[in-house]
Amino acid sequence: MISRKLIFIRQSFQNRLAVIDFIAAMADKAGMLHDQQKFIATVLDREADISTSIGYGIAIPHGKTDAVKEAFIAYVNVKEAFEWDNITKDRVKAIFLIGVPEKHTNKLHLKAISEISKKLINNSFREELFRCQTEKEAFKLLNSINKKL
Amino acid sequence: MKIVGVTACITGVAHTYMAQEAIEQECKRRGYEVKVETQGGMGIDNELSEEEITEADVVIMAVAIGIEGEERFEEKDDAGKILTLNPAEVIRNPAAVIDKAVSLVK
Repeated sequence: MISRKLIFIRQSFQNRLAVIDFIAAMADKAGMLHDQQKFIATVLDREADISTSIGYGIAIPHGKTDAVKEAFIAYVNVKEAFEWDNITKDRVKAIFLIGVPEKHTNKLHLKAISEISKKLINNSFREELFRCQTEKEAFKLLNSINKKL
Repeated sequence: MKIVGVTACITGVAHTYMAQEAIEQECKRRGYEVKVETQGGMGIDNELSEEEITEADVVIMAVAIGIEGEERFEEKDDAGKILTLNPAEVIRNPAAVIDKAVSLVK
């Protein structure tokens, strides 16, 4: 589920590693992780496999590992877009970091994450999302998707 | 035009469902009939029947892993009516992928 505690607007990150480190630390603080370092390693392995930039200025790094306690999706938006990786060369300004436990995943949580992911394909939703200037606005928008579940 | 598809990614949380949305959205925009089965973390959703597959003009397999029930598509495969690609491709560029799929019909 999207949590207000895991939304960060207008941040100053300039590279993939820094933003993943930051979100992992925040997810750990919010009690979502068993093992922060292991989670980061899993997410970076996945990135090394194939970039999670999806185009549209959005990346969705994710890790499925037993280092995750509870499925979560975190959202970070940066003031200035930066190059996500040197293969796609995509410039990214919105990052959704997803953590999923290896086993016994709550289906409702997965559904919530998949619904947010689907919305990102929608032009007008992305515009609305990029217009959010505060954590409160972004939470309201993202949470409105999950309310319909 | 009737298009069916299957989407599946390794983690089964985001790409599977985004690829579904990308295919559906582009097909609907063009007025095509569309149904996309997802095989992800929540199991199989929107499962395609034999009949739906038979009736389809073309099949899009946006899959990064092996899927369940692959044998349902043998006939379409023999007829050269399957477009297989990575889910990330159709998310990034739905119009180009649907164009390519349609080109298999003619």
